[in-house]
Amino acid sequence: MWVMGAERSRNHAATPDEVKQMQALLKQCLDAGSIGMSGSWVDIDHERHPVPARLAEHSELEALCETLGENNAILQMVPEFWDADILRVRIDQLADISRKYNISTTFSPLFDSNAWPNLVYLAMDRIRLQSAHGARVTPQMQIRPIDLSFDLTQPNSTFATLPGWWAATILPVAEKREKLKDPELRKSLCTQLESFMQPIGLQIDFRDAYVKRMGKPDAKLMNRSMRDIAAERNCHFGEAIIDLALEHDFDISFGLDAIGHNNSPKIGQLMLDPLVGLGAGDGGAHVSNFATYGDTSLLFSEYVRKQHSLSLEYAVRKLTHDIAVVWNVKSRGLLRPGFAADVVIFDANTMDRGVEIPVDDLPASGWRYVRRNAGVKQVIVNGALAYDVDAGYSDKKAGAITERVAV
Amino acid sequence: MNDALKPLRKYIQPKIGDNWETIAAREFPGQPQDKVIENLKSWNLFLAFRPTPMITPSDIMFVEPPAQQ
Repeated sequence: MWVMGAERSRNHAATPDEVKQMQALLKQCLDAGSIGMSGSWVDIDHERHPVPARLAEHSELEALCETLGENNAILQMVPEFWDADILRVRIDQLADISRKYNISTTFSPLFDSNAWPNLVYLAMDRIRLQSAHGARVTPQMQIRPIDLSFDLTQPNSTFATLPGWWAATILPVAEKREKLKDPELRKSLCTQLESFMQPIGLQIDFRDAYVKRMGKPDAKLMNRSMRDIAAERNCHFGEAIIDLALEHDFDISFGLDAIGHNNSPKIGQLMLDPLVGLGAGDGGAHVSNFATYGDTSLLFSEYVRKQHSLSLEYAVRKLTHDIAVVWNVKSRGLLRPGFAADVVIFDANTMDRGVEIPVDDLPASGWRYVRRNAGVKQVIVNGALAYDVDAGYSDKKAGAITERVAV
Repeated sequence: MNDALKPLRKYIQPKIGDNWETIAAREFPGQPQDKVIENLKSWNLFLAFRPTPMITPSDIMFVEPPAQQ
């Protein structure tokens, strides 16, 4: 985008000259301390255009990977994680790139879809095969289950395969307010919810959606499901969603819990695989769809204490040493003379991510979900106390840009 | 290529500016276009149903049906 400009990068593939400029820019970023390059094969931007990486031909990606290879830097991609056939093609592509340019590659997330239960095993079989042939492709196993929030202020992944809902939510507010009163449209929207292609490997039943957040909380509605409210109002559950949104001028959010990647015993077993990395945290992203904080805390509460899938020591290793190795980070991930003294002191018996809390602290309008960690006592960065549970954050800035392991 | 690493399912990546029609004509020349496009869409539901109906050069498009389960 820096090289091509905002508009051209969203509508055109790069010319050979632009690719050369991108290579030079990438080299500059790597020299300044970047760990590698990240891209996506699936994401859309704020105006629902494919992100520029998706407009790139494979040759452009390869050119940039050549630069990564010259600097021992990593490539991270977001693949079509919900479809085993496409995901295995992406694993093959990453493996080819890894071998050709001698780089580590990683993708996010490795996602256990209840709609395609053997997907993760098919993906791991392919990764094992490619690893046996010299490729470095590390899947980032997501730690948290998929709990989504949606509202009717804007389209989101919940409506990705519901074109009528997508089109309705994208409308300007005044127009949307009127259109959602139209009986024919309401009927059509309700019909769509009865049977639809599930988006991105999720399993959604909108009857189970519940009132999760209200601008002005109403105890008579909070936490009640659309199944329940629709029965009380003698209407379709789709109409319950629409009417609640209209009655509260769209300042109401609906929750859908455990709609994917929620089989903890199965996921815990997969985490034991040395080829599986942990990641896909998305820290801070998604704002009002879900709080992507606390995945590392959840590893201890869910997979160490509750499921007993991982030992405490192995969980720590997965979050520290293994990540440093996969990401080529020098002098991190172990407590050893000469390494950075980055230490988290926590109570293994209480470490937890906390519940989702809606807060209104964004610099402009809007709101977001946060979580409040429990269990972390102190965080030490490069030997300096950066956080203490009683004293809060320190003003000391002891952090330093990490170096990559030399080629 | 090592036989073990051969693609599990035949696919293409679109060229710049491609759409269902150009891909159908190039990959299945001489075959009825409507039928070919219908097949392509059924083998690539993710592309057919995506909310922003755009085919990009980085997409994976399968040009044969999925393996029998």
